[in-house]
Amino acid sequence: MKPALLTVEDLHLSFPLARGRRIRPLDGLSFHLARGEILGIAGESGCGKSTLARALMGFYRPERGHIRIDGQERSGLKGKDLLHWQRKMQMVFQDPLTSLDPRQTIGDALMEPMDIHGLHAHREARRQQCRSLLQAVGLPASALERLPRQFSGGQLQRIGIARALSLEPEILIADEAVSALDVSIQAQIINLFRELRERMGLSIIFISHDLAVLRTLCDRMAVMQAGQFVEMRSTEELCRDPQHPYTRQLIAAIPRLRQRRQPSSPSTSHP
Amino acid sequence: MQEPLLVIENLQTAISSPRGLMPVIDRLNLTLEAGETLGLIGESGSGKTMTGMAIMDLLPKPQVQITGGRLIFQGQDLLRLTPRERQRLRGARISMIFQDPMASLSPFYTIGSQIAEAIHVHQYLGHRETRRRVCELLDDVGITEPERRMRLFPHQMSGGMRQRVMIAMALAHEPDLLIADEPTTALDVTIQDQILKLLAQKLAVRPTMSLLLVSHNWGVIAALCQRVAVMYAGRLVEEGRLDKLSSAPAHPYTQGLLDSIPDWDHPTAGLLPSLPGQAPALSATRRTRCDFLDRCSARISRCHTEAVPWHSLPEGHGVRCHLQALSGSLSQQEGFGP
Repeated sequence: MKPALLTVEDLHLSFPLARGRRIRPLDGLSFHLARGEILGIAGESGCGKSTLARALMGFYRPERGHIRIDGQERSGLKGKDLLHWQRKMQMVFQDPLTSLDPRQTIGDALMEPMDIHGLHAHREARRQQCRSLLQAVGLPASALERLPRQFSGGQLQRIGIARALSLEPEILIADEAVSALDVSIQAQIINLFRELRERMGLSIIFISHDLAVLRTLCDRMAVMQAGQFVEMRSTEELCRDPQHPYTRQLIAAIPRLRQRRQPSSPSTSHP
Repeated sequence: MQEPLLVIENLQTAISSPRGLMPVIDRLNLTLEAGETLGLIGESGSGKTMTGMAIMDLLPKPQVQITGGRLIFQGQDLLRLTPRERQRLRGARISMIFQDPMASLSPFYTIGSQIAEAIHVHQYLGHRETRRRVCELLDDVGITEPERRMRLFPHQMSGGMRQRVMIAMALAHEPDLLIADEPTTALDVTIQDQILKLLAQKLAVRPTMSLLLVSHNWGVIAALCQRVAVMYAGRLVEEGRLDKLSSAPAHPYTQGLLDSIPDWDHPTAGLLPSLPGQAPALSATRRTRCDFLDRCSARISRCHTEAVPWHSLPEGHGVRCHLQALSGSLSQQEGFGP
């Protein structure tokens, strides 16, 4: 087994509700992510999958539990050390248009994280880095001078991915990153995630409600319900022989196209 | 033969912009028989939602205009009717369900009073009778305890429940045509499954009701429709029986669209076959070439220069692609519309 890059242990998070009650979106989650692995997290709205992404990113402070990257715990880190830790894990959001500033050029949007983290101090080095980021996600360098509204949904998602990559992270968290895209564009972005893993050795946590997307992309899959993983196994096993009743229920509910043409030749084969 | 319920004939719409009128739907021809279920599939901007809105007379005027064609519903051209006559059809003979029930329901009124309002637009009922009818409608869409539930506000219900309420309203007057625009897109898979089953059951109970289902999801369309029409850049590119079209699509776009969906039952090893590029942007100029040209791997020289005619294939299958003329047999007819 490959050594775990990210380990999450017994993660708990709750929010207060009215009249002293609490809601527990994360109720004792434990898992690990190996280097170069794509882990899919499936679940319906409200199961806590986005909260998990946000808790990993540090947007919420967990009540209990450990989040470690390369064995190093997040809590207790301050200042430069915390920044350095945070650099290793970056996020891609569902709607790239709302996560970009409408008045900021793509170049500035890509350089802002580098500014915060003090990377590539020289301006020309930064621009060079931006160009290679755009190239990595399949966009022309001319995109640097343009504004978000001048791009289509698929291109914006490429920019969202480029921005997440600008800090050269080891882990990407993608929260419903292809859900807002049209089918033909969705396939392009799914392929892009796969290429990035191959080329850069990225580890990816891919959160989606679409089981078919997860089955295509992920090495391992976890099914989440009410703040807990009810099943977590290799994609192959989980899809072929789901054990938990909830997993079975989710799979049974996928609307299917019975008669379907089989793609004649997949463009590239996967090792 | 019985006359079709709805004939869309050369429908054209345009969006007014600072650069003039931009055509969106371009000479759309579709026929819907009574009791037939037709899926309209396409990506954002293909004109599928606008088609539904045109039939309902809900296009935001004057930004979006119908610039040509006819919409013949039960023998009369909808576009020649007065607004009042259109209103008499809307919600009575033709109803619509939308993607987001929260946006279609008012947050200020109970769902009971909103269903009552939908009833009263077309039918006068007394207080007690209205109440009874509302309960009956809620019960029909699988909402238990209708007496209690009718006093709830939309925010007190789940997304699936709200969509059931919308279906209850849409079916209140037993319409002949139900238009459903992405009715399950905002819902979780298990709830989507329930709503699709509910719609299938409603269609089974009323075999004369026709359904026009607008969706981007082949699985959703397969759950309800016998026939499917594929739109691309405002034009119909392929139409036919769902089983035929999904197993042997004739248009390169339909082929690419089908191939690029991750399939649960047959997962792809490696990269997904994906269509390169994106759909063309709106443009004011008339197109004299194939809209799909830039993304097509099978293009030939005449795709660059000639407008693409509609080719009718056997069994109501049709496709807008030059390749058909090459591979086509003598039995196929050529023309500019089905």
